[in-house]
Amino acid sequence: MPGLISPAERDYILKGIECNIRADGRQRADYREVTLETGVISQTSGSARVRIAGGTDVLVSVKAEIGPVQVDPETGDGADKGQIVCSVECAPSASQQFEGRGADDLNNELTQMMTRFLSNSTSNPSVSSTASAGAGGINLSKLCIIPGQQCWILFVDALVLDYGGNLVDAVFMGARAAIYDTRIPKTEVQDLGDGQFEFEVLDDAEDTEFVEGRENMPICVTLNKIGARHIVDASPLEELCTEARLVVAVNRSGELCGQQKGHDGGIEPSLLLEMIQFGKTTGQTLIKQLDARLQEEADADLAKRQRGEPVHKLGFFAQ
Amino acid sequence: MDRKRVAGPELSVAPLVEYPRDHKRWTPQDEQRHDTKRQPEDMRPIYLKTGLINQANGSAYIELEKTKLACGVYGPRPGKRTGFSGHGVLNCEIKFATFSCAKRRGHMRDPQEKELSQILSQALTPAVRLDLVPKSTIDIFITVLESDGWGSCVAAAITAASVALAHAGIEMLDLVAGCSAAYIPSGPSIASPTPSATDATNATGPSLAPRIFMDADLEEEKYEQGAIVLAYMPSLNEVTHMLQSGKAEGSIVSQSVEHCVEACNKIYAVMHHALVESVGENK
Amino acid sequence: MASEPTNLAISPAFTFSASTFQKLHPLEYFRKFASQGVRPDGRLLSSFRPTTVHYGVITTADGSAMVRMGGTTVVCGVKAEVAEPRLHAPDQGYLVPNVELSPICSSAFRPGAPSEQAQVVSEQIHRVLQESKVLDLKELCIEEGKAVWSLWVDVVCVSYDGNICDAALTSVMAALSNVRIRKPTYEEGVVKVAGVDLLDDENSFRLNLARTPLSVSFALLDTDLILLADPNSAEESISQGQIVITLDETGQLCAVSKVGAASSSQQLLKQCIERARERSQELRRIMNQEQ
Repeated sequence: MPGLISPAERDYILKGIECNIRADGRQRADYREVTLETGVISQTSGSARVRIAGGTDVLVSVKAEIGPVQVDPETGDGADKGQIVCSVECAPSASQQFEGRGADDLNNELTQMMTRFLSNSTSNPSVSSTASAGAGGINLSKLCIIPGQQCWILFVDALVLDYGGNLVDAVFMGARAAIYDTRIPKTEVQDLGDGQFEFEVLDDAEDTEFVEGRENMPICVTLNKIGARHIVDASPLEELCTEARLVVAVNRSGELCGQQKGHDGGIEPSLLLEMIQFGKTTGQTLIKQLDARLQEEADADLAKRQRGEPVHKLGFFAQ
Repeated sequence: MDRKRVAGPELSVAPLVEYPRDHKRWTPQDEQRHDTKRQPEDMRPIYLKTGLINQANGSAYIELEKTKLACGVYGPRPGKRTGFSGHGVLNCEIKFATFSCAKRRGHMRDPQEKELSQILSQALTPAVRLDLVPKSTIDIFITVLESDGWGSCVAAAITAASVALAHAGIEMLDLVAGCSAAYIPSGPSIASPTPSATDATNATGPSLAPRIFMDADLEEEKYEQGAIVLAYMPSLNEVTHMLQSGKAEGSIVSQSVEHCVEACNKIYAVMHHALVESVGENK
Repeated sequence: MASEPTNLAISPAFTFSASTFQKLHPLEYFRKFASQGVRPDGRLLSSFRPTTVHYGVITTADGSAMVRMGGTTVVCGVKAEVAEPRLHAPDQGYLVPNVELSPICSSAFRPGAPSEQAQVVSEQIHRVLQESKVLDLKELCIEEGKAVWSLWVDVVCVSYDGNICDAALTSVMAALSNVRIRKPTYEEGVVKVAGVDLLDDENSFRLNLARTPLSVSFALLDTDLILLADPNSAEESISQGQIVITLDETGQLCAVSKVGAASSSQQLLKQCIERARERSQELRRIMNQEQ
């Protein structure tokens, strides 16, 4: 990730975008090739790796653990809900800019964004919204084991291994795929009477279930405003020319699940609305392609299992 | 352990709140808003005053009924960062006082405050002529004394900070006004506590289009399905920040953006008035 | 030293405005005023700045107060939370005062850990509350050995212009007198209270404050043996010492502290206590007026 850009480079990129042709030959609305793989880490409940041709490489893992429910003392909300805890970390090796504490702000920004877009709480973390299924799509009630006591907590950890622009989209694609891939063991709850409950986690690998609402999870489309135009999937150099960035989170049915402006520039209201609309349609197409890919992978695994063949993943280090 | 503060118990929690069975709380099904004086498109009255902090180069205090926050601007002063930069740096730091929310907050800055600080600097930077103050830092410190609604608090912080910047005599292209709105479902879809996710996706039909409540307070936020915070420069007609969370149809979002822009124009008049008043005082 | 700036001022090339003079030679600038018996802000040496107290300014707190002393503004909020009692005092709650001198209130303070001054003021208030036995901590007991109230008394300085000691302690005492704790019910490890919006005299109680100590500060200018009541931040920065007298409503001394290199005679200290008596009565009158 270069930290500086020369005026000549900036001019070149700006004029190129104006003519709808970018340095790598893409048009403004073109994505680079995305490689998506699920189930790459065997120790997790679910995992995914997303690579965008050109460098960006993100590994996302989901670990399901049992923990106490969090109840809001004022309203009593949250007693029957599981939780999603997000974290994004950029490896120092991913870019020169990330060395030392250089990635702290970015880590925090991405973590907060992911928490906001994926977990059900809305803008206000101190208030758990009563609106049932939030923007994240996941049905948190299904993650509850014993109301008021125990629930599943999904720890979603994203690790940025390499940086080649457009981190946000890659991280969210990865998170969606990893949760899509996640299997949670079934539990059996026994009523001991007297308000006492006990539960058992079924050990059988076959007795697992998917996260309910996983297909409703959103992905993000990042639009970078350069000059009077906006582009998707910016490269590192293009990001340096970006005046303002708009992240649009959208789910399969085309609902907007969150937007956030970034960078130090402004956007005209009419252009803003146009960008939101553009992000929405782009996101919907993208999500369909991703879903098809995830389904394809799941079908292939299933077919192999039925034939009794071992399921070999490409593996973490395979290119 | 924090050795620099008077130590209390390591763990303390807020007591559980119990309401009598017949207690009636405000719900979105009610005809009126939680604040019964207001219409959905109304904001709370704004009290905005400059020059509260006499040691700061510029300062502002803003109050939207219960929401209260103070902002101090220091600078331009020599930057901490060693590298040369042709542009100045706008450094924002927001801190919620420990007693400012329903739940007690810690003394240390938490991740949420750090992100909010970043959001504020992104919202204000487009307006400030940082190219005129090379090698310098402009520090904006905000203390939230009381928060009645998260969105309105962020919006108020943006408004107050830009007035404080102007009060400090820092050259700007325009003032930035901040405004918030919440989308609150009006139908009974949220009455049942645990509808499955699929129900909820189906439930967003046109009949249940959420209502847009401008400048929602905390009680209303508890029912929100989504919210938006918008920062806008009225004279330049430019949005400097937008933060939307929660689920909404595209039409609701565009509608609320328009509402917020409109409200920002009104807030602009209040900001203008506060600044003119401060000039009068100096004479 | 003393004659030097005057000489400079005579030479036309070095003539400068009063505000420049103040910045270059703050002590000399001050002396010019003090020799006439007044201070740069127009006060007499022994007079205090206008003070106001407002109660219940923060609704999210269980008790709160805002105090303004001239340019110094502090807000104190008290939050009551439930905690486990200490092992050796199973029926006593906690009273935890802390003063935050955040960077917003003056350029002298930097972000991060509390400054030395903030630590000193916090500790001073803590000791006054503890050693003057302002509050019987047994009042804060919910269930012996299981649960007690922990009162987090946090003072936030919004604007700093000297004499944080007096302002902070006044705001703490005012906020404590404003505290209303909802009567708790204890059942199987769970503490329940009524909703804030249902607060009334029936389901809440106020704290029984044994006394109300208030402090009165003076700054000492060593060389000139000048005593300044209620110093502002400019005066604090040129003073060499500080005397803080803390008195309760009966006029009894709760604490006396003298810091800094300034030497003071017995006579001076007596004079301070005398002035402090009057001032603390006045402060109490202001506090009671508002309530």
